[in-house]
Amino acid sequence: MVMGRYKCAILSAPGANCYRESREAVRKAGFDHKDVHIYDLLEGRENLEAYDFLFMQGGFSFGDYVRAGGIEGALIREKMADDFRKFYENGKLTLAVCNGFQAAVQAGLLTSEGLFEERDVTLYYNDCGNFRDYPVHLQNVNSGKSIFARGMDDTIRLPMRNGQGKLITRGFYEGDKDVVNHLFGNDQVVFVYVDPEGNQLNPDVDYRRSCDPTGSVSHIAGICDKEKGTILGMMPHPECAIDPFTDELWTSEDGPKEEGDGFKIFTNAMDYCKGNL
Amino acid sequence: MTMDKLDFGNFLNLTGEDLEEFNGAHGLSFLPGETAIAQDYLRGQLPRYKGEGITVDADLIQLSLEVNAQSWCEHSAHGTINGRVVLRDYSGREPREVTYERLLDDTIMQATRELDKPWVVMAFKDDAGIIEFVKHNGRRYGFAGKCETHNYPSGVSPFGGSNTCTGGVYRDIWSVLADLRIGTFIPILPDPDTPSELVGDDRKSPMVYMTEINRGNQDYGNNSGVPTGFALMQFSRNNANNPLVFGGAFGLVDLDYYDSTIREGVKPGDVMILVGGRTGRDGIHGATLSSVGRKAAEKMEDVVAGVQIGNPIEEQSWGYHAADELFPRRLVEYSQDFGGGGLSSVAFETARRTGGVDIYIDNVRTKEEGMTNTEKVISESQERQCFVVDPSNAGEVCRVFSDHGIEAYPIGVLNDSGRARVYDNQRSKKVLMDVDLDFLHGGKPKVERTATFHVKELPEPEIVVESDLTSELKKVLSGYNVCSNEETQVRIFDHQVQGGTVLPQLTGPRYDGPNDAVVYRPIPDCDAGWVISVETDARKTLKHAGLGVRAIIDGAIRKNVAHGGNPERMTIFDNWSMANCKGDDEELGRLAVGLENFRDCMYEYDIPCDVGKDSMNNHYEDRNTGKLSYIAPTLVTHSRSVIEDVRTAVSSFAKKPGNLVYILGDTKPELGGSVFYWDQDGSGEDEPLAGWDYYNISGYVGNDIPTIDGNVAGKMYRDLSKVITTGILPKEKIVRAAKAVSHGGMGVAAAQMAFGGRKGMSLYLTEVPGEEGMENWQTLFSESLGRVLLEVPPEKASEFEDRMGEYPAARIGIVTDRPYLKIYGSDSKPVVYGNVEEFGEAWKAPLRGW
Repeated sequence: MVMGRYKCAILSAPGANCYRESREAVRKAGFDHKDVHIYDLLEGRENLEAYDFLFMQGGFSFGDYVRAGGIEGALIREKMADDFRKFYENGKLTLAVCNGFQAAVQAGLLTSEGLFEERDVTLYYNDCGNFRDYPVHLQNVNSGKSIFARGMDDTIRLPMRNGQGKLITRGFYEGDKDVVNHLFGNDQVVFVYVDPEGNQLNPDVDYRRSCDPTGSVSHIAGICDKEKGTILGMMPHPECAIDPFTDELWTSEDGPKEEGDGFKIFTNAMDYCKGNL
Repeated sequence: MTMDKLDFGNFLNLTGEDLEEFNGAHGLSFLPGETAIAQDYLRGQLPRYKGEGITVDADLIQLSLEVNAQSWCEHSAHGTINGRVVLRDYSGREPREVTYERLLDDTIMQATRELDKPWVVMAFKDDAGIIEFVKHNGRRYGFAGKCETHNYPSGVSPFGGSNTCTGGVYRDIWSVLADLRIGTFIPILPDPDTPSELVGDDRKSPMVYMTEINRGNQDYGNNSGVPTGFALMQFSRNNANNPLVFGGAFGLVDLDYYDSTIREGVKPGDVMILVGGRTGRDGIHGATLSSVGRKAAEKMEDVVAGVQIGNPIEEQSWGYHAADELFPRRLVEYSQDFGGGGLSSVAFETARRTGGVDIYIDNVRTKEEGMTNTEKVISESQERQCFVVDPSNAGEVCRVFSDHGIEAYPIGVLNDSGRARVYDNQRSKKVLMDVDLDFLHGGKPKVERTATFHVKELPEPEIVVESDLTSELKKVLSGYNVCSNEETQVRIFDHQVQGGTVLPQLTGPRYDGPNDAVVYRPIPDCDAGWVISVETDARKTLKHAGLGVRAIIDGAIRKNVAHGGNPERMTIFDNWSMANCKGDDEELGRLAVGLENFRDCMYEYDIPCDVGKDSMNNHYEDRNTGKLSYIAPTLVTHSRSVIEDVRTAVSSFAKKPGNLVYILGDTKPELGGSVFYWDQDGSGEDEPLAGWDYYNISGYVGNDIPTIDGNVAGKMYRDLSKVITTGILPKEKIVRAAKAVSHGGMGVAAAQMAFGGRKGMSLYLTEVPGEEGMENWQTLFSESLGRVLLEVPPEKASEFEDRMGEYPAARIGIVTDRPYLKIYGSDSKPVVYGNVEEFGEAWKAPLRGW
């Protein structure tokens, strides 16, 4: 790792597989970065304290056996909770994408009650019935809590690539909407799926093969932690939308964008570090 | 007490028919006569064994025979395609006879040698082909590629078979010390309407094949984090009992590292390290089984045991860490993957580099207790790789893997003894097998075969069409061989992971306009990239293997060029799947004529071929009726090329109202093997294709297979490539959209461009260059080669016409704002008319629910 000011740990595990785009995203935003394997943390070869930004990358950690992100999440919750709590309380940043998000909710990093409280959010099999790689449109509905989403007003287009991205909250299908209401009430909801023009999705339309293949509760695509807004978990991949020439529509008549739609999330992280760490 | 003729301990005493019975009973797959040669060899070694104190017992004989059989079987030795073939071709006016000493070598490989492109780094050697890619930040990079077939296992166990096809081709890329980046997946399947009486009772239903075979690639590719950048499915009921699976993979090579290792690096004393999964009983006899053709299994459990189950997380873990940590530090000298034949194949193939090897079999870690030494040697368990390293690096290599929870340990040492030796362990050093390497690799008698080639006149359909061809066009769009694979393949395969996919397979405002190639950028801060495309068309090879091959190669090159590929830095891959090549001279003739035409195309288009893999026994004998069914002769050709700047790539969807639509290339009444004929009802449902007993189709093939002069087309593509890659921003581009006219003809291509961009298009068939006096339906559905539809802004029209002026090219219409496809026929009346959404729906609907 080159010596620089802010350091990003890209968390890996057997089956993590978004190394290249994750490195490229944080590098472009100005972070020094290193792959930190979960075994390195468990066996003491690495310590989270040395880092400012933890990027929990996508993939299929431990094959997603048991449940998506289940084993990685359990290792964090059972073996490393103190380290993660300290990292969080020091105001450091965590971005959890796709499988990283699944692991984060399994670990209890993202609940409606606070860090490592009882888990009340999970990610389940998509309504579309299978893994889906599809460009989705997201709107930032956060009122300012999430430091990652600041200044993101427009509809953004990011690829979703998952089989278990349906966000559900405890009790929702038994009619208990407390948790989802808390999430909105606490300003924890960051991104929701919208249509390509940025309109809210119509409750009467089937979006399984279009705008929201996951069928998430209230079409939620990403949430942050309750207290600080320094942890963001989301299913679509901002790190895969850095380069304007990987956008789905760069060959269209509008031409390529200035930068990819996901890049702002990483520059926000850098701005936060500069101001707070 | 009578002698047990099947006991390995008695093998050396057997004679005559007992030898062949022994061969069959143990599933060794020796060809007639080879068992006796193997016996002679072992008998001849007895004095040496005695002199060296080697105990000759049943175990030694069994291990020696299994290894011998494995290295001589079709799967490993490719006896048919490497053998001597006398071809008698009766298709022309005069019969001709030509002899090939080594069929593949004398055709395709020779052409690659003679084309002698300085940028071809490695062709037909080791596990993948490599071409020069780019110099960047002081490094020379290469572009490695390979396509693998895995037909037999996929027929028996569709998920496991296709799963391990993908896993296997990935390992081929790591085996040339490349960083694996992107894959492709091309199954050829029975169509969903295949009548059940065509399906053998030990086969799966077409629906199971389609879903499970695609799930196999989904599981392996997605879990490995390797984007499946391009996927294609084709259907024929000739594949009712023999589904075919082709998987491609491509990687980035550091050429300086490659030069200092694979080229020169391996030496006696180097250590072989086994990395990855444990060795189990899964996958015993896979290579030899797939070499004997498909007879309905008598003992199904034996066959299923021959198909391995993949564990992509295991493979991805070591593959990724090897490519990311070991290759950049140049810690590995050479590598081979455990594929067909297992340790036997890996160790004794690698041993050829130095001339000998000692294997310590007790080191091999197993999945279960009690595996015999023979089982350890021939197991084809997946997710295992052999890395050859300098002894001073062995400890570090094993440490890097173990830090990530991956098992890695030495299993042998290379030497120059001339022997393939297996010991129990380093301490007691009991010899379990000791065979001359020269015998293993050179002792197989050369296969000599006669091949014959005939072309038959096939029935022509009687085409009765309305003057309005709208519904005919929708029917072609919704045919299984044309319709969208979005829901069955593209969306369920992760095609963007790792962030390098620049032009995915589907683009456009609703993300459903089909491109015919994927454009990929392997190095984030470098604009050079790869263009990868695939073509196959067994409808045309069914009528004429040679002409069909020409159509496939033209299509593969053209699809690549249409999106920005450079034919001057392009290679094509040779992947055949044939039926009974060993037992049927006509089938071998089709292969030989196919290879001749492949070779001719390479010279004409001036494009080398650098890697291939063939599968020769895709026929099926029904165990109840004895009826033999063949697949159509099937060639899948990848074209892969370098694009200097990925930002100059062009997608297929229509961009802007007012832009002009050009067609490049002549249109002729060439509908032989077309989708239009194939989808006609009538040659008699389920009746065999007239004159050919082994095939089943429900429509027609016809006779007028399209042809083209590859010299002219090749030059045209070189010029077209430069025009297509001119400019980056929309206002700089001459060509705003491009679509190769392929399966289904120009109506299909136009509709796909239009609905892909949610724009309209007005086209005039009378403006289409080519043969005079064609019927509207012929112009619309002809599959003449060499054609590309292009969208050109009016302000760039004169530049386009100047630069492509020497080729047949004509302005045939315009892109419109109102989203209607209107195609006017010879009497200036619309013959096709409808909202583009209707055509899009016709194209997307058929396989949506699968």
